[in-house]
Amino acid sequence: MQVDTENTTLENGSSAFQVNGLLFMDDSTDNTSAEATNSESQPLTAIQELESFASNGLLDGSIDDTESFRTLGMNMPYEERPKSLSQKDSINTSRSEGNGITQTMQKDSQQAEDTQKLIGLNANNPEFESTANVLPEISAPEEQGIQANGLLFEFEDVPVEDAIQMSTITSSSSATMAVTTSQTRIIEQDTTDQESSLDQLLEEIESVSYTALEKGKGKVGANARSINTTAASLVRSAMHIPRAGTIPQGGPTPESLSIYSHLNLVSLTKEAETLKPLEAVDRNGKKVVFKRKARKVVDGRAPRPESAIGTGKGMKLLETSYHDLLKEIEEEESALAALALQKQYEDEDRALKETLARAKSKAKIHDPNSEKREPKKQVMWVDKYRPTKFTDLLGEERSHRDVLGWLKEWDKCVYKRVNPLQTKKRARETEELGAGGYVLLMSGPPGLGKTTLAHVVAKQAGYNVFEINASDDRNAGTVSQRIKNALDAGSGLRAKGKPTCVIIDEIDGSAGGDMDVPARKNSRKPPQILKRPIICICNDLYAPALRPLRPFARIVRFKKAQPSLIVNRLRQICDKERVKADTRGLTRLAEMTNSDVRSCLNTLQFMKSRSLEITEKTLRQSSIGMKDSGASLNVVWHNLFVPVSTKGKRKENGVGKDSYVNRLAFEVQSCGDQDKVVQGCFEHYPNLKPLDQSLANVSRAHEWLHFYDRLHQRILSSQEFELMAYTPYAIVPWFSHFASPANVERPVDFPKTDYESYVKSSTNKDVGTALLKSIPPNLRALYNSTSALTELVPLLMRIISPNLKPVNANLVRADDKVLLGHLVDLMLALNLSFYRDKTEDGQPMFRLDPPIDVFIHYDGKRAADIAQSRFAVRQLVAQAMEAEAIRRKGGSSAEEAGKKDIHSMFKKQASSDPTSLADKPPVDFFGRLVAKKAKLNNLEDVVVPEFRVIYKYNEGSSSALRKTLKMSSMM
Amino acid sequence: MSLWVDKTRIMCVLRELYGPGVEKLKIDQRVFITPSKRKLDVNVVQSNYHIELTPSDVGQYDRVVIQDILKEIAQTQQVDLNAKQKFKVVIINEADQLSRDAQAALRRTMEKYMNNMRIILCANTTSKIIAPIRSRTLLVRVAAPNPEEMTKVLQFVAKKERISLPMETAESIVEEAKGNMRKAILVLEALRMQSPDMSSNIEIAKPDWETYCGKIADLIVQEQSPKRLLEIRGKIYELLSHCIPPTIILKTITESLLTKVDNEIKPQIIHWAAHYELRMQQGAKKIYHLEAYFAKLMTIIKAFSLMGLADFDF
Repeated sequence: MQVDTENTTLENGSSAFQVNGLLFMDDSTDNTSAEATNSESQPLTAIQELESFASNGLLDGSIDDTESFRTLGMNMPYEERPKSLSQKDSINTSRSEGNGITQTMQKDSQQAEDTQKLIGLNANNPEFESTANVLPEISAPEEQGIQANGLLFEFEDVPVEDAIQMSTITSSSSATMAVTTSQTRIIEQDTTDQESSLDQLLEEIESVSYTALEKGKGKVGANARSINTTAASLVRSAMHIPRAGTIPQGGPTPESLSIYSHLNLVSLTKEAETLKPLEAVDRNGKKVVFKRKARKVVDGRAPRPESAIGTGKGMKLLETSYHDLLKEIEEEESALAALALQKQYEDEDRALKETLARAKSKAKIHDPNSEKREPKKQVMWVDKYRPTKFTDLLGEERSHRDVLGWLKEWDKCVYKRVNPLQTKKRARETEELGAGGYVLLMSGPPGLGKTTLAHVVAKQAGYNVFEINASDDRNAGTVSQRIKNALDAGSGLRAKGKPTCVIIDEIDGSAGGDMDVPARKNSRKPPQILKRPIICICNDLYAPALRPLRPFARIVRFKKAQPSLIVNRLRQICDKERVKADTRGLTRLAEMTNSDVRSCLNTLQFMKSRSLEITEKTLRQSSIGMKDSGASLNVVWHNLFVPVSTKGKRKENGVGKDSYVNRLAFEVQSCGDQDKVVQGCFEHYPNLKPLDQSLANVSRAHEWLHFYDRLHQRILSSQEFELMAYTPYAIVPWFSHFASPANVERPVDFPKTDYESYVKSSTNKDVGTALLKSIPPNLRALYNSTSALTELVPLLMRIISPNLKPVNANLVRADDKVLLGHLVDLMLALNLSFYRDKTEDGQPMFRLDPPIDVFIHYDGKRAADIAQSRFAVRQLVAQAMEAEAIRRKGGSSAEEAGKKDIHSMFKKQASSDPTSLADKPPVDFFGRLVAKKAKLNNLEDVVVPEFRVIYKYNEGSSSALRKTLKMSSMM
Repeated sequence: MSLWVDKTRIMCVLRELYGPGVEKLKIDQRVFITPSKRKLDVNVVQSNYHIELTPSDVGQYDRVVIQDILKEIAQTQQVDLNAKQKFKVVIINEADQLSRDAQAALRRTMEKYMNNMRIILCANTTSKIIAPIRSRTLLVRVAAPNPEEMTKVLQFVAKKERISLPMETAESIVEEAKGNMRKAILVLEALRMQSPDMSSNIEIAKPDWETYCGKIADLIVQEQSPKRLLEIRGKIYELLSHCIPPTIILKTITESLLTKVDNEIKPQIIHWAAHYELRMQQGAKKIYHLEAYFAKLMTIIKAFSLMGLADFDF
């Protein structure tokens, strides 16, 4: 080992970035030198106040491995409180003073730069203050104007092999640790370092520093240089340590450095006398002046330029109160602390991982304790291993490309120039392509990475992502406003000039009505044309809320990734996380979760935390992997009717016939729509292949059906939802009664018969209601809704379908005419009528209104005993009814009065009853006869009755026969 | 005082009470609002003196109808001073279909407002009426008319309508009607319209669904297999979609079946009919139980035809 003291400070001027050195300070040195310079003890008391900072500092900085240093240097320092601190205390007369060893080794300038960087970074670290009074000599870059006079040892090219312990320790402790002895702040850090080796290390460090101090004591008051040399001589022995425990630990911020440095700065450098005295303001506002001596030229070294020595920034700082500065520092410190801590956490895992990897590769010492010291704070693996690059994405590459391709189509609009003309062109182009393409709609089951894909792709394409998900307020107004804001504002400066891409996550979860917002937005006037891409993500493409969106969207469906891909990825992760897992277990996991990567990772992490091995067996035993996803109806039906094949059984390993109940019950339960399951079973079972011809199993199944139905009824009618726990078990027995391998060929169709029947019956019920409404109240009172349909309607249909010949009304035979008269009366009384309509093929026809003829049509056929109601007959009836209606309306009620519908036959003299309102002459409010009516009555004999004659042309009614008629015959 | 009677009889009673004015009926639609703010439309038939409602039309909300209407009527006095009676009459149809709640709502009101109104409950069976109500009512059991009476009525109608109704035809109509006078008269009219000449031997018109049920019974007797079960199911759905109540379907098919099978198994058939009818009432999906019943029928018939004996358990 070569110690080149000469090199140290001299080189500072030339190489601006040499910060490395070994600094030994011993409290006695500090004290004495302080006294020697007649400085008041003010700074010291100030330091005393800084109890939290003042400490015995041992700062070791060493770089033994540039690579690791670089990676870990950013990392938080590992602080350890030396166990032998008391030993130090005994040495230290004043607690406020510190011992410090700053030892850095420099291998080359490159390394130095690294170190410099590190120190710069670590300057943020508030912990440094605790060691700052150690006065690390920093050959600061000149431009920073910081100079610390002190002891600086610089070692170059320390042969690696020299550090004997080091080689052993580095491997385990990953060498690049910062060890700082500090009384004050010890941030609990979990290090991967082995405790034992660290302690060992610390002890060594202390012992060395102790000896260094002892020796240094003897030369109290001596020239700092002499101390330097003495200390330098110690370095050799000390050098063993720093390699082991390195300190990239906080370098001071330039400011803070300078504050502390001034203490020793002045006191230690005797040569600084010729310089301007330093001025400072103490706590009480008293001015304190430090004299400074000029620096001698020693050994050909030029004295440092004034600027470098103390007129710089550091010097000026003294002019403000020390306490103000402290306050400032504190503030700064707390701000930085937060930052550093965050950074530290962020880096922690990555660094640790690498350290572990390193440790593993180098592993010579393996200490089981290291497991314990792993960081307690863990990131979810899902987040940790979330792909950040397009190439990292997992799953079907085609859909990934589709998404990226779609996003790239926007480039024309977004990146070139936001030109409405071009936008239109683009829109036209997309239209030509046939796809709606305004909005991208990604759909697929959860956990396949849709959200990740959207984010990755948007990032890759240079967009700033604006995400709206289910957690946000999502009513139509808010969303449209937010999207508008995002799209408008996003094009501005806010997002670092990046255009915005809106990602609407979980879009199907939104209540109906919201999601027509983008759609409406697009379909609106051209000026409002969409200029930024919108990506929508949903699970259920056919959710009602999405219906308005679909026509405008380019739809990308996600399918399950191949299990092999997932297993590969899981394998990598397991390796990284040091989880024992076998491929079969992982495959099984992927299967169980339906290729849901998120679920897989969560399960893995969970099992790891319980330190389970991932094997097929543990997976099956534990219920943790069971993703609570619903099995589809088809799967449930299939499993109910088709037993697990022997091959499948082997695969499932242990899922045999004996355990079918729980397996199926779980499936049925997870399916959700148990009513549909039962309905499907019910509609399907007669189609099943090997049915017991005695129907015994059918009857048994019906018992279960009954059980289910009762449960269901109870749940519905009295809200006894506790019973829902049992319903799956009412469904499972279908398996034991009907399951057979032959059923594979006939999958269960979606049950629809019941619904169809329901729809039909409700239509028919409406017809019945219409009939009941239209028939006169007298009749209405005699029927209820059921008996009207079961008794009245079927017979009524027969009554109104007499066997009439389809001839001209005037040619009807006498008895038929009577019949027709009856029919017309009846139909008018019941408010039935025929109206003209056209059949589907354009044939004219008469329909009955209300259409009660549906009730005599079974299986689409009319009852045999009812004569077919031919067009001509109905026409005849319709005409007769029309004529009759007109006549009745005309008011010639004399004839009418005698005629009553069939049911009034039993009402004796109902019509002639004096109390009957209808037969009374109408009176006005005051009981006088209504004049008009009276007039009419008076004139009746004289004037021709005022019939309104209506001529109506009836299409298709012309008969070949023409005949002259008198008007009277038509009336 | 409340009564159980038949429709026609009720009208006659009312007429005796109030005179012919009660026959001036009008159909009114009332709107009720349930506690859950649902609107219900109920058709009521009413005259100046009475109101007739069918609360069971609105299913589980019948309680609201009962409470609202009854209170409303009960709290208003008879407006017409000339009315013969001081009270109004409320007729509640299908009282046996009333839910428990509705019946409970009824029981106190019946007594409390007895000054202002009388209630006539009309039901097919008393078994579903809760005991408190039964004890507050006068039960009038209306027996079906016997064939002679019915024939007499038919002849009377025929005479009024100037139809010549041969005795045989009348008797066959009566037989077909099974004590249902209304049906008998409807059939008579249908016959008159279909074939004005009644004298010849004519076929008595039957409602289509009855014929259809007969067909189903035939199917059951002919073949017993899952395939046939599926076929029957289609027909049952057809009946249900024509608004034929499942209970009537079950009953009609059973009756039709009983004429077609051996005496040995008739008791069993009736037993199971009752069994599944009960289940149907308890459950929600009628078709399940109907089908279960038919499957059961098939097993019985099959076992009987195979063994020639009916020695299996009920």
